[in-house]
Amino acid sequence: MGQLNDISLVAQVVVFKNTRAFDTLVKKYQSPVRRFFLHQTLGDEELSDDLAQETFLKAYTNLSSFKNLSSFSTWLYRIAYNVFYDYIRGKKETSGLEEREIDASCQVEQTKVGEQMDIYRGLSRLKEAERTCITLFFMEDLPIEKIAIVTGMPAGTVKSHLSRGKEKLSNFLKQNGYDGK
Amino acid sequence: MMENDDKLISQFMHANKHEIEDNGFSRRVIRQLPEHAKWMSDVLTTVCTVLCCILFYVFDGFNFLFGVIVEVITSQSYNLMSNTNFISLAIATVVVIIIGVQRVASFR
Repeated sequence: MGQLNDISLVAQVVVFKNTRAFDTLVKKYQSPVRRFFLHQTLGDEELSDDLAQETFLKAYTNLSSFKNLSSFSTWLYRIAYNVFYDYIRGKKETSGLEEREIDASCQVEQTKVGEQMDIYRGLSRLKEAERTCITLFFMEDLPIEKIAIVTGMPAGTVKSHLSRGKEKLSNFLKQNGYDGK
Repeated sequence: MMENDDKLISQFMHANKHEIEDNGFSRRVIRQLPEHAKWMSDVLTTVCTVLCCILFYVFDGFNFLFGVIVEVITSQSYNLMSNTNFISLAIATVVVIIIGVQRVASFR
């Protein structure tokens, strides 16, 4: 039902340039997309919002290329993933990955407290690809096949990233007193 | 063991899963859309055009414009009449007529 509704809204945007229909799509998906970026950037809200905005603008300009082969949310996550990795590539060219990681971890130290801080600290232990797979799988409840579509990786590679990410994250959680009970 | 890890991570992640309030985010996105920018530009153009037409009418633009046109035509005609060398003009006219007659004659 939700998928049908999405297709109807997409059609209204593509055919009639109906910005109200697009507004409905933005309102529906802003939370998962911004949350996705928030976890990738380890809690940088301003950067997350900028990247999320860029994602929706790209979605709007390329909406006619949405072929309904996957759900609208998967298509949107794929754009978000590409926006984030374009940002990472641009950042690497100018300042190097290490600096970004240091910036991110400093930001977590300064601005987040309690459990929110723990999740970003935990995620900061993971490589970027592992973090993407872990958050899409556990936080956004995407199956491995859809994560493979979003990231463009083979399903086997996604499973490997998930496995390594789970191992690192569970070790971090156990070291910090989480026992899952 | 692996299942326990899955459960542990799943519980931890879901405990930290929060819905993010819109807080004007969608409005900012819609404002950035190219269609919205074009629409704003069209509205601005229309408003400016209407305003110009009203001001033109209010300040009697038609009379002013008519006066300017008449003045330009009059002054140009006067200049033309006072500065024209009629002998040169007559010679040029005769030359043009002769060339024209020769052309017409060459068609036969």
